[in-house]
Amino acid sequence: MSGVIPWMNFTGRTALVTGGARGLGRQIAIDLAMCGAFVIINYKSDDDAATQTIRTIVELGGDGALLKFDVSDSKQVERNVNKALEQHKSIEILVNNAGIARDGLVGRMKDVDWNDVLNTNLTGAFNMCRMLTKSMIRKRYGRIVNISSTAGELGNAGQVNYSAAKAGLIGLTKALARELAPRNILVNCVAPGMIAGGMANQLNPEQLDAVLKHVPLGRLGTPEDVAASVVFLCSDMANYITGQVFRINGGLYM
Amino acid sequence: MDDIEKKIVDLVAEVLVDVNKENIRLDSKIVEDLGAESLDIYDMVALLEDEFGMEISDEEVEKIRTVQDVADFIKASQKKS
Repeated sequence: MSGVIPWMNFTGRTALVTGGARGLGRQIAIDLAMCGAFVIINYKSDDDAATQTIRTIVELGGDGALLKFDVSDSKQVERNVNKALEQHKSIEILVNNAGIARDGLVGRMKDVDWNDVLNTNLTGAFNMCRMLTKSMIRKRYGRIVNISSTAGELGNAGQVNYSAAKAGLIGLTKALARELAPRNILVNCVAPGMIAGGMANQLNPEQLDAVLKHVPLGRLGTPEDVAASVVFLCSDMANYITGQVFRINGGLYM
Repeated sequence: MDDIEKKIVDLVAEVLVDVNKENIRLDSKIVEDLGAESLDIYDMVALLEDEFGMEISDEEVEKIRTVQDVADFIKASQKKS
């Protein structure tokens, strides 16, 4: 049994990953489940992907459940999180990963494109934190990881809304970390750079090449690269880490 | 102490883990005497709401100073419903 790190054992813990049906969220859910956590996968609409992700988790020997609701709707969040808490007693780990992009130049960005991105990426995280804070406080234990982005620190032209929301998540993370520290609730941010299978998929080969020139490690990241940090931050190896931004970007931003 | 007052003392002791339950009296001021901070108050209010099946507004929380105040408030609310 060499190579097994005991601090990565999440048996007995319940995690909730928002936007966990596909992409990064999916990998985070799988990795948490592989470490023994019961993983509740929230998703908005992609039933097929969500079902496939749960199936993958079960096939790999893990366990979890699906919870379909829109994180930007506080009423849906309240109803569904309460339902989950009734079934699972407590949720110790929250990963706010649900995020969308609606790119465009600022002068032509419509209200709906600004609002939707802020509502899902930032308000959604707030809604989830607000609902789970009580049960984490009662348990005197919690781990919250918010998925930000290099866009939140570097800024991306054409992504004023996305960059604002992702930067907002960093402020939210730090404030929450300070507020909830007395109850052993640790709150951190992971800021991925360009990740394969993510929004980088929308770039054509020339655009991709141009971007990779700015990445010292010369490649896109993988969902596994990012999920590993999320799992680490939720583990007992991170017991003294709170209010931090972990940048997983191949050196794109230092 | 009646049953409600005993329950409140238990609840306060559960939240304020560093305070000895013997030191929690009905006339104890929750902040000044028992050292509760804002997170503790939030925790207590959440517990009270769950325990007694009610919602407590921010204005009502503002008025509470002592353990007795909490008990009186709960008893008054129960009479109304």
